[in-house]
Amino acid sequence: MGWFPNILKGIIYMGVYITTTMVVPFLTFTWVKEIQVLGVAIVLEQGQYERIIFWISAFGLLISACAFFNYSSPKQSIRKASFALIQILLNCLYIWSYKFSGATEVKFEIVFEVTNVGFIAIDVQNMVMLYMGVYFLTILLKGYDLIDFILNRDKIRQKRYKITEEGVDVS
Amino acid sequence: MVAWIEYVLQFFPTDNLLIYIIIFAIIVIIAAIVNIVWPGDRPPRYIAKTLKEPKKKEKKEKVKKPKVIKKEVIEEKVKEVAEEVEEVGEKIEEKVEEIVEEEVKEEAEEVEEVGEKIEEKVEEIVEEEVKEEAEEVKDVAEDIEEEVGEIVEEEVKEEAEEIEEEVEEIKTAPSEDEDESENRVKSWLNQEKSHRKEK
Repeated sequence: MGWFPNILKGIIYMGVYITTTMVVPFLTFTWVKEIQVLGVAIVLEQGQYERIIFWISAFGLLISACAFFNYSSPKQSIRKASFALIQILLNCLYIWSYKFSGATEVKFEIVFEVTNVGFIAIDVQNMVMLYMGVYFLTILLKGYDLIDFILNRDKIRQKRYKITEEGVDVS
Repeated sequence: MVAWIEYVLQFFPTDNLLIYIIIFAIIVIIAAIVNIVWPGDRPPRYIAKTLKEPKKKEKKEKVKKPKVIKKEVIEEKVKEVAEEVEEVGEKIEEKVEEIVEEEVKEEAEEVEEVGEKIEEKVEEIVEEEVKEEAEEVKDVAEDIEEEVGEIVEEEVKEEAEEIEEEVEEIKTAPSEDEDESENRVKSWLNQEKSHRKEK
């Protein structure tokens, strides 16, 4: 596989991560910010909307950059494993940013015409913690991959470059 | 699991999104450069060089494998080799002789030079010794001359005294003729002079 398919693959995955970590959350929170249900305006009371968007954008950018590095690197390479591990760690931070920015405890005020009728609060902290558990296992896996690629570096190279007893098949 | 996240988040800037954009750009550019230069489909140069060497060695070893050769060919080769060895031996002998002659000539020249130097030195030494001996001889001669002079003076004085005594005796003694006495004195003086010259 030449450099162009690798770079193309990296760009595609970077686009996917930008979409999933930045665009979709941004649109979701913007849409949720002011929504009407049966004519009743549910206003996102959360004053930390900008803070949520900031952290989503910040970690989304870092995750997308690492995804580009990860997926444009050759298979079983040490740099791929390294950036995969970094990407998972950033994913943890990204998920955690939902929690500390207040996005996991969103309060919606129910406003009927002018009067404030009450509020709805959504608490998704447990879901975040569940994700953190999944990411913990993923970190272990990526760490194992990295160690494996470092220790079996020569074998991987022999497979990748089709090295035989006669020498290297450069073609 | 959660503690490290909170610790790490302290170091992330909370105000400026531009920093994250710059980091994003840097990572993407580095990734692009690294994966274009080393796409992973070919070994890096430093690995390729080290791994290609065994192939060449094997080729060399293949050349070294023994071949089946006939006796006639071997004999011919042996003869050729023997002739070559003889020629080389003759050349070596000639060269050795030339070298020996040159060395002998050089040694002879050196010996001659050394001999000349020794002769010059010997001459110098002999001249010095001769000069010293001549000076000694001169001194001795001077001493002898002085001694001879003294002896001669003494003898001359004695003889002069004797002559004076004889002259007085002749004068005092009665003579037949004065001319004869004078002649006798003159003849006697001439004899004394010739006697001195001989000495």
